[in-house]
Amino acid sequence: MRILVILRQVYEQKSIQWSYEDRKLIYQRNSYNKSDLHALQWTREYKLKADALVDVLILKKEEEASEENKLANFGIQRCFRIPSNGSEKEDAAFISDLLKNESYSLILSGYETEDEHSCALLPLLSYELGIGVLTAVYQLEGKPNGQLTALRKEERGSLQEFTIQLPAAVSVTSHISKLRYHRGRSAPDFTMIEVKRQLSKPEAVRRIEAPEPNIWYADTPSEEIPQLRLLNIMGFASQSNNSNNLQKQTDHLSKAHLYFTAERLVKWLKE
Amino acid sequence: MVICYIPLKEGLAVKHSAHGLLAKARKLSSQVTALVVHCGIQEEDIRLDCDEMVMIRLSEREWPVSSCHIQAISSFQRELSKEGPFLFTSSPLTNEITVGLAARSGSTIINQAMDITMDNDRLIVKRELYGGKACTYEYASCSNYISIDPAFLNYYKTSSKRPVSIRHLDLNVPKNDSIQFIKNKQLSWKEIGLTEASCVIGIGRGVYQTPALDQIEILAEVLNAPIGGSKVADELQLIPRERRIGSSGITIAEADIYIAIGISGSSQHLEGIKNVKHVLAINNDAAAPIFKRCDIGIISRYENVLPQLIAALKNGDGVKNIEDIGYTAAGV
Ligand SMILES: Cc1cc2nc3c(=O)[nH]c(=O)nc-3n(C[C@H](O)[C@H](O)[C@H](O)COP(=O)(O)OP(=O)(O)OC[C@H]3O[C@@H](n4cnc5c(N)ncnc54)[C@H](O)[C@@H]3O)c2cc1C
Repeated sequence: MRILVILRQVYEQKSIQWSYEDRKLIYQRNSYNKSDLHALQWTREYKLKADALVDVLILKKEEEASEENKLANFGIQRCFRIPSNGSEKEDAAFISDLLKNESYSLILSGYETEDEHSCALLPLLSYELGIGVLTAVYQLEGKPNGQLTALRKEERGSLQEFTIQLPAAVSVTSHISKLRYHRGRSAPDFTMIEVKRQLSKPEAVRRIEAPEPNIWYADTPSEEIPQLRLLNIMGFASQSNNSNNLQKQTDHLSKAHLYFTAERLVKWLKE
Repeated sequence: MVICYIPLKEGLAVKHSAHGLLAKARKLSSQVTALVVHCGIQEEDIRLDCDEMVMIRLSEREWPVSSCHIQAISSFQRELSKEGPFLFTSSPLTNEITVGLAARSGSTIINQAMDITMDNDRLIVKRELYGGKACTYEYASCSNYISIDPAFLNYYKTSSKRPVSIRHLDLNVPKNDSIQFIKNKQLSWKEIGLTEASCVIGIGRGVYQTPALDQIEILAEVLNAPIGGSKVADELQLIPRERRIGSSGITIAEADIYIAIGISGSSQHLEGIKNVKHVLAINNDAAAPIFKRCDIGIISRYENVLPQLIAALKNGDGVKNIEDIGYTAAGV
């Protein structure tokens, strides 16, 4: 099986801060998108069980250096390095053009990026290439017939099971594998291919601002006396004690109470 | 006009965030259409505040597969030729759908938005960057597909209105062989994370050195609720460190129900359960502060309560017989 893993270069989320003075983001440290690395780690573990050739494609921020020696010991064959302007649409079109003469059975990447939280690259690429796509995969296993089975979490507390006919594109969450860091700086053990690309300016016009929460205007208290309004906001409302609140007490525990408790629990679970 | 794709749970029940989505759409336009792509929901069970509702039915095998939704929505657009922004709530499935629709029509996609406002016929979409360390504002056109993070939609109240007009569309979705849905699999209480479970059990010092720990595990199994606990429970090695709930541990924001057993309810612990909807507390000290935070409190040694509570939950007799029992009827 030939696998292509797409790694996106991002600024590490932990290293970033909004500077209120300069009105921009500061302390930017470069790294690869975490969930993309989880996808690469998965291929390394897959290679131990089955035959696979793994290539990597790095989408690199134009002005930054990328650290390929971090990718040593992953068993990679070839590594393409492509400059990107951050537009997923243009990246997908460019990659699909590049892959016209290649035949990968599986294209893997992380589900979401740490910076923009965007998750459109892989689906876009799959539509360009005309292959199936499944995103946010939680567990992925190869089957003897060449298919893959995947679990994905769409609802909390439950998983959906799918079979994937190859070729396909799959994006994974960080649950897919445990990252193992290789100590020491080894030289890259793969062939590096620098891909030339003419970048255009991204089309979306946008501005970046300080973090700002969404503000909700809930019910405002209507009491005339300010002290009562204040008490209302603090949760000691005069009118809001309805029968659902805890005014009712009993001093012995009977079967009826337990049934009542059990019934409430079941009702809450159904909500 | 704004079109809202209504989020459903497994194709069978309307999710709470649907009401928030429709309320957001109402702020953008007076004309709101709800599109319900389902696999067996009854028309009478849907109460949504919209002007028009269009229902498309898929089979249970098709519903989890995005390409079937893309085909369904494309034919909805062809048949009814509706124009306007299309709003979704973000999830892996809707992410695939929005990208697929945008790729077909050549329009742009904006995923995981926080908020949308209207400014002179143009939409301004607010999004988070770097996990909330900055925000971006960008213009979107009215032909955009926009998905909103449901975390920002939860605060709207449920509407009890019925849609004005309801239409059903019949479709024949061509088979897609590449990705096939097999089945839904429930995570057991041992696998499920505290932050994603709908019911969580918390244990504290009160359960230490008592003979009824297995009862707690049985309750966990009956309710499919993972077990976490207080700092003291962690220090006494009743639970692993990563399952500590509170200011120095995790916050269980997603849970609807929290069952506190042998926990006094310190301010640090309550910090971890501040967003939980319903709390049941079992503690033998009537003065414990947890009783100020709970909806139902049982003052008793937990060893005495749990077997009876488990029996009541398991055989369901009592639950069925006194369905919707009032507080007075229970003598509470
Ligand atoms: C900086 C700091 C950070 C902290 N962070 C956290 C945090 O993140 N999370 C956290 O939980 N705590 C935290 N704490 C500790 C917190 O202050 C409390 O000490 C702790 O929450 C108490 O745990 P507990 O309720 O299990 O124990 P206790 O307070 O000892 O309560 C035990 C309760 O069990 C009851 N009981 C005893 N036997 C039974 C029985 N047989 N049946 C039923 N009930 C019984 C008792 O009546 C009592 O109310 C923090 C403290 C500090 C200083």
